[in-house]
Amino acid sequence: MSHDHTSEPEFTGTLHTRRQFLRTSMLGAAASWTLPLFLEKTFGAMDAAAADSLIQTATGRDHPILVVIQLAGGNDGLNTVVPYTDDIYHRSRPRLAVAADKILRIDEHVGLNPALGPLKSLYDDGALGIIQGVGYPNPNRSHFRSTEIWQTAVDADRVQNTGWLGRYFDNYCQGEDASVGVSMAGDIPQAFAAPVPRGIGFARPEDYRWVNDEPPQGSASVSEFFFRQLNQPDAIDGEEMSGASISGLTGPAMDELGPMDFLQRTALDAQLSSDKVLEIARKFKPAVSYPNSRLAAGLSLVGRMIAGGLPTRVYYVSQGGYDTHANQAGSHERLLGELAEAMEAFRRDMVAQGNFSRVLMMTFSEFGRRVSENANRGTDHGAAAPMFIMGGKVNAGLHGTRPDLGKLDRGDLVHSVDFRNVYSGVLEKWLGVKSAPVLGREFKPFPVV
Amino acid sequence: MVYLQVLAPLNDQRWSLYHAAHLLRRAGFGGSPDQVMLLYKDGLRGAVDRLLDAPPFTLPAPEGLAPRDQVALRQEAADLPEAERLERRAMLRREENRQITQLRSAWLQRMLATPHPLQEKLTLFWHGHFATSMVKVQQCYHMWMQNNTFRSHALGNFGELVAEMTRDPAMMIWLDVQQNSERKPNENFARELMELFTLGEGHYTEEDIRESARAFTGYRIDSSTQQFQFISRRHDDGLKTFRQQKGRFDGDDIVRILLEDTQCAEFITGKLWRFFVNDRPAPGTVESLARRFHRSGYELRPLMREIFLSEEFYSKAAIGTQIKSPVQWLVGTAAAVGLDSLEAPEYQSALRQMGQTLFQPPNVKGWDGGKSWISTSTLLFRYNLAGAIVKGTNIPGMRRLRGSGLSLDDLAPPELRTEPSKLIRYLTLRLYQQQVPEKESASFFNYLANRDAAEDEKMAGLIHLMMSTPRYQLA
Repeated sequence: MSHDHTSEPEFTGTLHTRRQFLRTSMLGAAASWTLPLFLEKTFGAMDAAAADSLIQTATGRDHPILVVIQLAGGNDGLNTVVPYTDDIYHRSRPRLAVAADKILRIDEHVGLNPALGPLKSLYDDGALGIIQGVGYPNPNRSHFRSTEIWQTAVDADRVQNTGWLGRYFDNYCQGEDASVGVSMAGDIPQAFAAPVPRGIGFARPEDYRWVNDEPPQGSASVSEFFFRQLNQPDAIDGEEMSGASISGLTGPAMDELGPMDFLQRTALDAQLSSDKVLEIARKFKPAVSYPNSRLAAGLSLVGRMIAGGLPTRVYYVSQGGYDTHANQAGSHERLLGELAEAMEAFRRDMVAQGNFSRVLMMTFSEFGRRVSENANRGTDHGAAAPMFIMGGKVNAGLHGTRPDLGKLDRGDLVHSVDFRNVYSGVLEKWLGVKSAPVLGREFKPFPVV
Repeated sequence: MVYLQVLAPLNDQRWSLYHAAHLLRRAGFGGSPDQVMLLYKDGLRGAVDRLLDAPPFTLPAPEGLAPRDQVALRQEAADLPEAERLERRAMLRREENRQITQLRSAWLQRMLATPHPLQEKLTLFWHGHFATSMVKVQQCYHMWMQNNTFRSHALGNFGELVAEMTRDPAMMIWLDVQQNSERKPNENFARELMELFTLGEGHYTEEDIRESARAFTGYRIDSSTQQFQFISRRHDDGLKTFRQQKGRFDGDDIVRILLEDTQCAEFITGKLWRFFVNDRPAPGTVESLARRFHRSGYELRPLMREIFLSEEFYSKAAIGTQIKSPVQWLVGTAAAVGLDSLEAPEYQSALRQMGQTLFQPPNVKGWDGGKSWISTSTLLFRYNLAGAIVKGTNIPGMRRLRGSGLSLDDLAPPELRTEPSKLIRYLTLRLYQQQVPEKESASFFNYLANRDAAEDEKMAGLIHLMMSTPRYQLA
């Protein structure tokens, strides 16, 4: 089992997609597995393929991209899109109501919180849509449960283990790279959950790799070389390669694979997507300046990945801190300010890249807040709230029905748009797929674009 | 009662170290070479009996754990100024956090160090089955109590365990049992009792849910003692029709009627089989085991004995085919590389990143398991965690860690280091406990031949490499 190969193992290539990997490794299939030479050839061939440049990556330029921003904690929708002419609003919030003269007016009834200046500009430019009164029947007021309802997109009295985006990947993105969904939070959101999970997560690109402390010799280390050898499907090893196993590899059926084949394929996917993410992060720096916040840092990273052509359909970022039970005024406006500035910077970035029309951004929060303020200058968990949508092709303007503060359900706003109508709109009108297989039944698609 | 076997047992002649290692991985979390050897010497029956023989054990309570009198807390807080009231609430939350962290550590440590691993493995199984989360329960005391209930019934009687769960405070908070009243029914618990805990989806009607919810009215938690309390004046004592039976049923009657259905035995047996053996039982296996389980009055010990003795349990379709859960990965790794402690809080952060936070399953359905554990992110994380444990490598998203008690001289004995093929064979047995294809051994061999580094660094690198493979994710 020894071999006489003594030179440094060497490879420099970046693998683009699983398909590309297979194509190139088939060329080198004559070599036997015992020789690292086989891999050298393979990687060499791939290096040549990589010279095609990242810009031309298969899925890089044509697919629409969805960017989801989760406002975690329950955003106070009433102080976000404010019904500034409504007496009930001012009466219910003697200390927290935003004064009518400070409102950034959208129409004669509602306007934006003054902290949302950048969003007002987006709105005026026709790049922002506001969907009012979004929620669901029998609203749940627990963070945990209501977040789960939004992430899994089921009726409030049902429990589901898979997420709506996970089901989208499952139904429509079989055979695509692992980076089809990317979460910039580190943790993978429940929305991505699926029987066979897809999607990757990292807070920093350099985190998304096999960490090995051996210094590279040439372009890689000995450890790295054998790590790669051990982490690829058996079927790639020359003689075991048959028509059937190749189609098995490129085909969709991750859920039908045996556990070992499944793990090997995931391991290969991990390598390919890690190589790609690291390379993009190295080559593409932010083209515009972003403000200094975690959300902005996440969106800046999204911008770099889009610039580099990562074959991603859904990006997911999150902004926390919206659970404003006490002394809400200052902190809520700071959060809204951060949100608006980050979204505006992202728009500039996308416009500079020429990608703004490929992007749809959507915000959501697990619930809005009580209409009446509480004794601690804050607000408690509520129900319906507005969502923002942004993009070059977005259906801009003010949508949905203004919530009626005179008709509350146990102190909370009643929703006029089910969030699953919005999801349906995103799936059908933006991502271009049938929504029923994802959402479990038909929801009339909300015209997001 | 003589318990007759329905599955063909493994022929004693075939019992080997590999079989003993497989048994220890599945009925426990894996073990050191010494532990495998001990079981092997017991012989098949002796080994299974050793695992089944577990005396009662109570997980030590976290410091300061006590039931909190909710009424007294509210009264005290009512007189405080607003700022202090908020501070008091934040303090309580921090305290609960500290306690649950300690409880998690204590359980992980027990899994690693227990002489009775099957007891802990089943406790983990019941935690996933009656999946209850601290996120909503918010009182460590109740989670601790529930965990001990799982443990004391782990190898006992399933019917008794279900009955316990109907009056378990953590479960009652989790599924809103206290919000269930005659006037305003809350059917959450009644639904899950049938859908997830006893029968499975599609084996009950909406009427069964409505009627059984009535039977669970009057179930409360006493606010001062935090123990279960039945308030008869709140109980709907009317006539109920439940699964074709009529009576003034209470919760215990509902459980009794559910257990009468062989579907319940089949549902539980099938789930145990999937957890302990594999996803694809031979045709008829689960059905015959379930009939026997039903006839025994839901006794778990004989059922588990039969599974662990069966030829099917030791078949190719079972050995090395299960994707390790994060807990299995971590405790098994600790046992395989010889760590003496999993108490460092970093391990909890690691479990969270791999997708399995103890006392915090994602929802009432518990963890899906199998392939759902593995994404490119969680797989890379597992690989990196192995490096952190073996080499002390700094890894993203975690504080620096190095396995406590780890000895490279023990893992890669110096006398073997001069003979790479022996060393690799030794480590293969130690880490995988099964034979590996020659091409994988060849990669390890070639690594040793090519890697130029100090001796210990090279050894640690090899071990990390062996753990950074698809094969290491399988049990």
